[in-house]
Amino acid sequence: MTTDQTDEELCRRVGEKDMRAFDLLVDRHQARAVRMATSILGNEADGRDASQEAFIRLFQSAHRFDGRSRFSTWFYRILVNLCIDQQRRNRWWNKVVPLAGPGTDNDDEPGIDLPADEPGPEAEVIRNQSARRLRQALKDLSPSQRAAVMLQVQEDLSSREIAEILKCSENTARVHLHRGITRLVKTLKEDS
Amino acid sequence: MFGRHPQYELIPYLRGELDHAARERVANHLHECAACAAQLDAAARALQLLARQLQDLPTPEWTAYRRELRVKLAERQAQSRPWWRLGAVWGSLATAGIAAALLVALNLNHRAPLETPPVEQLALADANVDLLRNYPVVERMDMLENYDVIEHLDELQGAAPPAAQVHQS
Repeated sequence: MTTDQTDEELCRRVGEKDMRAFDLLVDRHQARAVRMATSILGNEADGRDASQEAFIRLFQSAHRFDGRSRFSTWFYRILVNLCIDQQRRNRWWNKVVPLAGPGTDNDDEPGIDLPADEPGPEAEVIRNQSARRLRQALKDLSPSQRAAVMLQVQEDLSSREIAEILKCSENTARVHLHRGITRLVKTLKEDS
Repeated sequence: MFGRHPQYELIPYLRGELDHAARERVANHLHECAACAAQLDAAARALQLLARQLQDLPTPEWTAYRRELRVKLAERQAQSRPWWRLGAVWGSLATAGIAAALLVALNLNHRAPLETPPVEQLALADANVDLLRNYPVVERMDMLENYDVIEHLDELQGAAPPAAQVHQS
């Protein structure tokens, strides 16, 4: 087996329980999967778990991949739906138990600012604060809005591809995107 | 006159997803509507910022990540296996059960007779019933039902008739 095989070919082999093909697919998609899940779920541990669960589902259902859509669309549908489901399940819990640890907002933090390009400790501090603000702003979005925004920003997917992953119409995907980004902009403006 | 604000088409416009006619329509609108133009500009800046922040997200140690994934996958496969295929114990038990059943079946086959004799033959087989085989005697034993005669045997005159005479009567 060669590493230049397409994702779709590798997925067909995974359907035949080929562990080498599975390892190659994991190797190719692990970074993006973890980043996507972490962005949607809002913390690293959950993102790690969700992405691993998505790979397990991929292994179990690869034989059902019919090749009509791209592998990445099929796989991200699994991943994003897992994240959205988990987010909905945990919503009531997050209201009762506020998130703690790194990334938690403090009320006295300064508002978000575009990260400075020049290096230095001050710029680093501002960049970290901006990142925290942005993560919090993302958390305020609905799971579908967050998924739509992340799929566009991280995966550079079109509205049609996002619609395919979220199992909705293209117009609905555009509405999710518009509302998500508008809300992000509003939160960032309020903070600054 | 701005017409309808193409708010849901701003992002697709920014990314070049719209067809020619839609792109022209949005571009004309943006020329005339400062609010939509400002909204588009803010959205572009937010997306740019978000993309930059994503690069700074911490990533796990990949070897440990894949090892953990393998363990979880193995656990899941074990859980999803049907209960009757759980391990060699069930296999051994099943083999032993089949062997025992075969032994019992063979044993029963050896002991079972080919034909079952009638009940009368079974009754006569082990008993000492030679007298019963003498059917003429048996047939006349109904005489014994005359209890009056039996009870007054002592009072009968003379000797008992010879067996041959009894036979003939």
